[in-house]
Amino acid sequence: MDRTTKMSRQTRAELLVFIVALGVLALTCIACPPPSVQTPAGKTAYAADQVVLRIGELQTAAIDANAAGELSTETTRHVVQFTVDAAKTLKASPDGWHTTVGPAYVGMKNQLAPAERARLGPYLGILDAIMVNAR
Amino acid sequence: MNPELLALLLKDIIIPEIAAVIRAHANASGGKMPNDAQVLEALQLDADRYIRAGEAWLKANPA
Repeated sequence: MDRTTKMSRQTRAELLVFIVALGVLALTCIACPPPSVQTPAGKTAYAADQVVLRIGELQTAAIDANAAGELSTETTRHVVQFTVDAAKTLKASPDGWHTTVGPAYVGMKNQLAPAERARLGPYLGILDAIMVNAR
Repeated sequence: MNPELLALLLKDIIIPEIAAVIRAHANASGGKMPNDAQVLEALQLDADRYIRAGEAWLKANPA
């Protein structure tokens, strides 16, 4: 292997690490409230609302994929049912949602075939990071 | 990492992207940030929106 190719690969690897680190940094602050939100209840609601929005994006993506024939109706039903239940839990319990929504999310994700998971990949990736940070 | 590459990334991609997001947020909110009451209300409204949309789809596509 020549030196140029080796350095190029190393640079690409470093670049990838840098981009992933930036992504993780952005996601850890995905639910950071603005300074105008000051009470603990407000901060909790802000964080829960960010999760609701991301779950809503998953719902919309699943429904759109179903309409386009890229996601079976049965799978879409699983995903949509999860999003409805999760939104209800987040609305009712913005500070204790993770114990219910976390396992339900894993269960829903495990029902997806690899191709279906790939179709919803970006939305699942964001929710994966949120679930990890919410632990 | 190559310092020149890092500087180029920051200057041409990362900083402009961050600035665009901040500008978009400021324009969308009229430059005002939400207070606690607005955030609490937004959670209820957003959750209701997706509950309604999801239930409507499930009703239209029964098992």
